[in-house]
Amino acid sequence: MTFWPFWLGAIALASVALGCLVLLRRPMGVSGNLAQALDPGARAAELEERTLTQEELRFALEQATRDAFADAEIREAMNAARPAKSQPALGAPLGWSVNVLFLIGIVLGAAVSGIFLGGASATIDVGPTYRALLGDGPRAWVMLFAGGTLVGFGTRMAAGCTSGHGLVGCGRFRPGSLVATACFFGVGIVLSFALVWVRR
Amino acid sequence: MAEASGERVPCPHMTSCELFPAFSQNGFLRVWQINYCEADFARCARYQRSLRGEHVPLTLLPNGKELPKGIALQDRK
Repeated sequence: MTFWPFWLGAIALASVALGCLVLLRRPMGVSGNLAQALDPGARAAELEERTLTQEELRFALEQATRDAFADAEIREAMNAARPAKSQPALGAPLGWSVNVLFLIGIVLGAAVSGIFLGGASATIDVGPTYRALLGDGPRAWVMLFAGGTLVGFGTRMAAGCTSGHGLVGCGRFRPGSLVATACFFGVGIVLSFALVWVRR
Repeated sequence: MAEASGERVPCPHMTSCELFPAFSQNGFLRVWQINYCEADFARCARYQRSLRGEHVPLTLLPNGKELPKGIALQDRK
């Protein structure tokens, strides 16, 4: 199997991550996209929010503010000083359809990349390395499924995966992302060595 | 704790909250920021739902109430 040069892949990933931050003002995160795409509440909310214009939203918020607070409290707040901005506010969360499109794009991009490299073909072959570790029978597929489940559970528990924490979070020097990424790769490296050692 | 010393701890979800920019752009809505975003954010319904990993709808207010649906400009007083 041939691959694109590592630096080309890095440029492509960095471009997507930066593009999301600059154009959409949202951090990229594949596990977050997947969670939103699978959330029926997100789909319903998008359909509802499409009918709400900015002016209608502002009017509704003002009405709700009068209902929730006394006039004196509102006046006092309007005169209160604003805190200094520490970082620019992010844009609105991506809608359900945008999350779905992003995920479809990942699959299509991989397919197009494979076609250009001339090695694209549908297969259920797990590959020689995995076959050497666990074979290619039912046990291997069960392990794959279990591993995938752990990945899904872990990314939701960590509120992000290697794209959100590793690419974007670390690039923004977020402490949580630095810790999460260290754990991702640290445990992965240890487990890889352990599996090779067991195989011997 | 920061609250005990009098220091206000802002909500860590401010930069990703969909309503925060709306509150920032309109002085009339600043009262929400003072009471929730810049102070007692733990009781914000949006923050609580976000912590549970649930989708936070645009129409959910920090006090847990929902903005009325189908607001029409002709209903404005």
